[in-house]
Amino acid sequence: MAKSTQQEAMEKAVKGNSLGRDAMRRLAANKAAIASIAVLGLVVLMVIVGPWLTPNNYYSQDYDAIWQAPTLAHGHIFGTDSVGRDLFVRTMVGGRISLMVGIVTAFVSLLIGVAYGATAGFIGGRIDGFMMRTVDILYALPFMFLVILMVVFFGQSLFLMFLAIGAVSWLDMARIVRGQTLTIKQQPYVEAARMAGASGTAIIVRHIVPNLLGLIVVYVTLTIPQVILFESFLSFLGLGVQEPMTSWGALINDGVGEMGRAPWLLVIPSIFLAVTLFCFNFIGDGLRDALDPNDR
Amino acid sequence: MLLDVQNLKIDFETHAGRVDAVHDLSFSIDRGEAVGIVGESGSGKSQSVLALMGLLAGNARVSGSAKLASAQAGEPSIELVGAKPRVLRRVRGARIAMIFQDPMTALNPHLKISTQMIELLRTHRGMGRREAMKAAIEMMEAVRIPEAARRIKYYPHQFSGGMRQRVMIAMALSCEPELLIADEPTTALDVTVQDEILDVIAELRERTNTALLLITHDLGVVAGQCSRALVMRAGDLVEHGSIDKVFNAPEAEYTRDLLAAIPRLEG
Amino acid sequence: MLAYTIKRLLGAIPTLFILLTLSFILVHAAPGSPFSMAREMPPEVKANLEAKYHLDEPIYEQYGRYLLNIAHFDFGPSYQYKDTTVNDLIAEGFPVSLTIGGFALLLALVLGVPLGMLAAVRQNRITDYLCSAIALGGISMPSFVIAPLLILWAAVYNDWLPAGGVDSWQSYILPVITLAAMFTAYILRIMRASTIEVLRSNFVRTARAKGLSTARVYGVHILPAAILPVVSYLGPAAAAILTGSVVIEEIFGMPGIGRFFVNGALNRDYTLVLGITLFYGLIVIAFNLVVDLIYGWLDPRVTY
Ligand SMILES: Nc1ncnc2c1ncn2[C@@H]1O[C@H](COP(=O)(O)OP(=O)(O)OP(=O)(O)O)[C@@H](O)[C@H]1O
Ligand SMILES: [Mg+2]
Repeated sequence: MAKSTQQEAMEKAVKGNSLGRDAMRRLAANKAAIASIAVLGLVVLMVIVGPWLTPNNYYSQDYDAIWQAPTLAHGHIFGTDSVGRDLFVRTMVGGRISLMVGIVTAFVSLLIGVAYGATAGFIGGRIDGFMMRTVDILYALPFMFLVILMVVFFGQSLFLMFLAIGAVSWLDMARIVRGQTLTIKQQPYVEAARMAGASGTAIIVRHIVPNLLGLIVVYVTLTIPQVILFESFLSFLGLGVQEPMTSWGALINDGVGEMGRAPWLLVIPSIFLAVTLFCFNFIGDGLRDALDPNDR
Repeated sequence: MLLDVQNLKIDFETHAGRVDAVHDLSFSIDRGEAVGIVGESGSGKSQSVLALMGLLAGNARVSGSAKLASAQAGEPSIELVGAKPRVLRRVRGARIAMIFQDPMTALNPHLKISTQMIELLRTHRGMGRREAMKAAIEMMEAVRIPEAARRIKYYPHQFSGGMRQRVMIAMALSCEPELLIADEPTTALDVTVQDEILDVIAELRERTNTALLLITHDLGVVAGQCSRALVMRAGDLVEHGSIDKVFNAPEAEYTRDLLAAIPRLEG
Repeated sequence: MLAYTIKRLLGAIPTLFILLTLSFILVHAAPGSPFSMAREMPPEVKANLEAKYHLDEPIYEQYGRYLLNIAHFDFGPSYQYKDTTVNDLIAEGFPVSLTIGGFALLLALVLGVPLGMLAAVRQNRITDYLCSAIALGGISMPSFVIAPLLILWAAVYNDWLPAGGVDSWQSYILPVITLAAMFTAYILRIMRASTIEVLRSNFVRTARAKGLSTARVYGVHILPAAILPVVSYLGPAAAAILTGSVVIEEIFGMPGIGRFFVNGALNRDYTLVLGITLFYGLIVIAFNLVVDLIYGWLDPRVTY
């Protein structure tokens, strides 16, 4: 019965169906979404090329310049931390991690969700019932706590993080894809394909997945910020990436410890994280509205 | 004259540009009179009457005039187009009431029938709760809902479609309005229920001398209930006259097509 | 209604059971024992300790013992906090977490519901864009960003409020605001969407056609219908609030169960971590049940 906003957004996207030229035009007319795409593009570009543009690297310590406030003079434009590491490079490198975790994990959960939901919906019957009941039970588990347990007990690795977060975020997708599959299954052309002897997998890949394209795009844009948030949450608690490697959440955690003395250590990574999340959410909203124009 | 509509024009601002829904509509209704509006789907019937009530969607623009005669003789008439919300609120429900096409969704599913009926009487008649309850039950009985005193405590989903439409009628007529607008009141209902609903409306109208503006697809219904008819097509008024004239000497090509499409049972 | 409640409670048992088993397996599959941290410990002392906590028994016996104790709501002794049971720690931490979470949810409702309605009524106008942008901001600003910035502003630069602790009621202000931010944003968005939907519905047109006052149309006809999705959201919100309290309690240094959980996890305090996870599961299930019952009470069409 309970529905997250994300789930609702996705259902809206389903109604709008395909990502047609019309939707693209409406998206182009949405100034906030276009601005977000531009800003996000800039952030991504900075994060990728930024570390190559400075002589500093993310781990080397400059003891002559500790707690350096942001300045152009010493080549530390974002300042330095308590051991003299350059915050600019660290923010960019941390951004790589945060974005990568977000994107990779969103795709992992997308794959699991689509495969699971489409299979359940396509097979139907008792197997479907069982598969969805499993999803219901998983929904009720306090996943955040389980993920923390996993990370604590099995050590902090990036791979484990992909796995843990991916395992949490596919549930919504599975539910919605299943519902859609049930509807699409009844369509005459799918029936026809089945009559013609197409295999189940072929039907799912050729007929069902393309119909879900609009939904998938919205889903991915809204899941990426959630995953980034989740990763930074873990890193903030000290359970994410390990020193000297860093991510936005880990940088913010460092910053909190020294915020009275060196507020830039807190403020700068916070701005990058918030702006990125804001852009993704704005784009996701814009896409949803573009697919379902009635709502705006 | 009760209501005088002159040069009513409605258009909508949409994503895809402007939609002209009603071009130039003029007609009038006398007290106690019944006028029918017919026309194909999308011809602008509903939007025209919603405009009179000030109930159009936010993206609508209306021009022209719709004058409602004053309640007391000697006072100036009220202009409904562009009227202030305060003015409209005193007209709606009290002087012009409306019933809608779909009785399944027209009532608030979260409120008891009694609440929905009483609030109207309390707002416009200044009745106390008890008095309003009594009047509401009487109205329910007048529209022939059995065991009204008990059923008034029900929620809408506990009623059938026909019963809900009766509740709508009871509600609409409870403040004895001067004009009742019925927008396809029977389209969504079973054929067997349709006549009963129309009978109930006719009976109550006679008691209170309420004028009727009846929208329908069914020319037969117009012939049975109304003395005059308007025929609309794609936002234009194509025919306007007495029932006799519209049925026997139609001017517009379109009216002739409509008439030709009626299945003739009585030969 | 009673039958429904019982059915739901029975339905929660498999979920709880899976939760319990999963976390038990996870904890015991992990490398290292709770006492392997303290390296200087002589082997006999360690063996003694393990015997005391039954860690020397076969794993299935530990599991059986644990299940049995759970059935009596006994979460066992904490490994980390000497001579303290997990029940004690939960009893100590939960009121703190509940206070923060409860007030945060209340604040979020008080702000989010009217603002969401306002945005819907002013759809596509400045007010709407402003509300929606603020809401997106609330969703995009994680609590661990908001909290330090608030501390910096209200406690460090200006000496208005305490930066942490639980010494006075003022200490709760910043945590509650921080935690409420995200929920306000979500509730605002849900409320906006549902109000827009309700505004389009036929019964609202009927209410307007009846000439009712604006206050009555909004308060009596629109609000009860539009608030239902918000009520549904309260279930997941309760879960998110407990999760959120982990960060909040960490940053503001408040002794709630979220903080105990993180400490327990870092110190391999098996029983504490298991107990809190399970307790959390219970709370969420109970809260969801209450929310569903409230929903049914608000929506006359729902029958049990
Ligand atoms: N909010 C709106 N925005 C844009 N166009 C609208 C809007 N509301 C109505 N229209 C258009 O106005 C026209 C007239 O609609 P109206 O509801 O009056 O038709 P109708 O004659 O009542 O049809 P039906 O018999 O199906 O009820 C239609 O073409 C419709 O698409
Ligand atoms: Mg109509």
